[in-house]
Amino acid sequence: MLQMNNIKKIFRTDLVETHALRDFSLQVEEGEFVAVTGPSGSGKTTFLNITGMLETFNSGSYLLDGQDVSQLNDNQRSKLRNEKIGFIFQSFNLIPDLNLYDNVDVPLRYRGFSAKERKRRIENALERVGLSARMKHLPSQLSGGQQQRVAIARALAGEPLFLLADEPTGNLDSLMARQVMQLLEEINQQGTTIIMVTHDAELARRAQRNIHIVDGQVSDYQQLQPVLEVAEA
Amino acid sequence: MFEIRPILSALLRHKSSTFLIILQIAITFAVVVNASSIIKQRIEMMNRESGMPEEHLLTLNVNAFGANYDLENNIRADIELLRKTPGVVDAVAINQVPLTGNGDSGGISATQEQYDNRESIPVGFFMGDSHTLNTLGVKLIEGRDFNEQEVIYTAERPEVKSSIVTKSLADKLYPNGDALGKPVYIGGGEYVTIVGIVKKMSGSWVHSSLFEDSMISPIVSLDRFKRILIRTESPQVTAKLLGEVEGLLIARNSERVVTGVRSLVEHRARAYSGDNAMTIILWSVIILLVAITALGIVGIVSFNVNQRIKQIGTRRALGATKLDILRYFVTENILITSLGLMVGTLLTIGFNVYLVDQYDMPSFNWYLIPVGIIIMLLVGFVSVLMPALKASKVSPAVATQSI
Repeated sequence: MLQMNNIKKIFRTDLVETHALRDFSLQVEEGEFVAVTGPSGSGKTTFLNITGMLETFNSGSYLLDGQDVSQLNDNQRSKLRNEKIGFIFQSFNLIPDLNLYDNVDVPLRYRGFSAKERKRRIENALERVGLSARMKHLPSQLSGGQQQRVAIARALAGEPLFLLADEPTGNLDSLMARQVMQLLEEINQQGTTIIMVTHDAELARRAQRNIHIVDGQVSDYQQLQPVLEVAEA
Repeated sequence: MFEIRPILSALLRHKSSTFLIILQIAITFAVVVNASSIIKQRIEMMNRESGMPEEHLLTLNVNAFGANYDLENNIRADIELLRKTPGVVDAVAINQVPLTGNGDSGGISATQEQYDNRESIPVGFFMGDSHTLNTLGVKLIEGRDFNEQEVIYTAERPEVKSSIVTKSLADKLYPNGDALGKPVYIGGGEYVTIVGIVKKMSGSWVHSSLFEDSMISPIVSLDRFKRILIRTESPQVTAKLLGEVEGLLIARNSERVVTGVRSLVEHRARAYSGDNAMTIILWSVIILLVAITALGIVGIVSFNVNQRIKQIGTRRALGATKLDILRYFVTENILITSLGLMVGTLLTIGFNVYLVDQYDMPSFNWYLIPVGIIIMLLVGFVSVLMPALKASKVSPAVATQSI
């Protein structure tokens, strides 16, 4: 489903050259729940941006559902992003002026669905996250956890190939974080692939597979063990 | 996919800023359309045909001060001298010169009864000899010109029998188009007969309702102050004579002062100087207002773009192309501009009704509204383009940044 081989990403300024990802390789299969962890500055966000086609990379190959991402132009990447990826952001990234219905509608409009089809998908998605009764509410009228559920509904509505979550519980208190995590697990059990970037070891443990990034490279799972143990302790 | 409904609902959540820009567009539109209408009317007025070869005409005043100054002979001699001057087509001693803002006017009517009932038509009275039409260069379309025999040189109120009128006046006096040979009552039970009709001839007062309604009588009034009109063969001769004519007349008789030597082109420029200034001022107002509105749109859209960087990045991450983002801001602006133009249209009509009512101005031509709408939409589009292009360049990676 997702195949990255030897991805290299370098950020250059006049004085410094930063290797954010070095020969990064990863394969994710359909239905998996993968957690990507790593210390600050390890390249997690770069990985997230490249996986989500929000940024380009310098070398290597990235096949998404069989398509070579490096060959796509900006418009094609936007289209592929819209069709294949459901984004969940740390700060929810809901549009404050739009009610829940219209927020979930945003990616569907870019897909070009009919109004009827969009309505069906929006209602289903909001139903799935338990917010169908609050469609006309504004994000500001919801708690953080509810807002993240709306963001999950928005990600689900397009029936993407996988959900790409960036610290999905990072801005939530522990209770809400648990609820959101539970929801993600349910979604995964229903068959949706999830790739979650997090620095939270406890959260990472709940995923089926953990990828640990250190200095822009995938570290061995064994290297991750002490981190998890420390977190557990 | 223009996202009209979500854009509208988002705009409704920012009522005050949206309302202010709508109001600015509406006021600009109302002022621009009404100012354009005034400009158009002024330009039309300034471009009216005078019916005369203005570049070939010059005028001057002769003020006699000599104790035993023989008015009639001096006038005859001056005119004779001028007519013999090389390059001069004709010359005439006249009581008023078109476009100069000075002269005689009064009321006339087709019947004595109308005159007595004060239903007379205001006209400009021109008096000159049988060379008047030729000197003015106006075109006689019906009847005949004056002959030498019917010209009266007098210092008293003369008893004239014939007159020539402009077509505009003839049609007002006799709407059936049969004015030639008909009487014109000039007060005191007197009447003159229309012996000729000229196609077009400007009056003296450019802003007056009698501008195109003039009557010419075959009289040379013997006054110490006399206006003289000269028609030349070319603008070059006119320019030459402007510098020489005073010397020419004083050389013949020095017991007078020659003043106000001006071409008719200069008189025209003076007559319409206020209108010209008004046109320039109104153009400046239009340009300034449109520029302020355009800058206002640039400002508010730039502000909105900067405020919504994260939102734009999120939209891009969720699948919006650069064109989608550009289209979003352009659509938003077109909606705001359209609302402004709807309010503006009502305001324009209201403003015009007020101007017509209070200042007796003619109402504007309806087509100025659609023309104004197109111009304002274009201004809005051009203004929004730069900030919208900037918005379209926001990276989707912004969605994952903490800003």
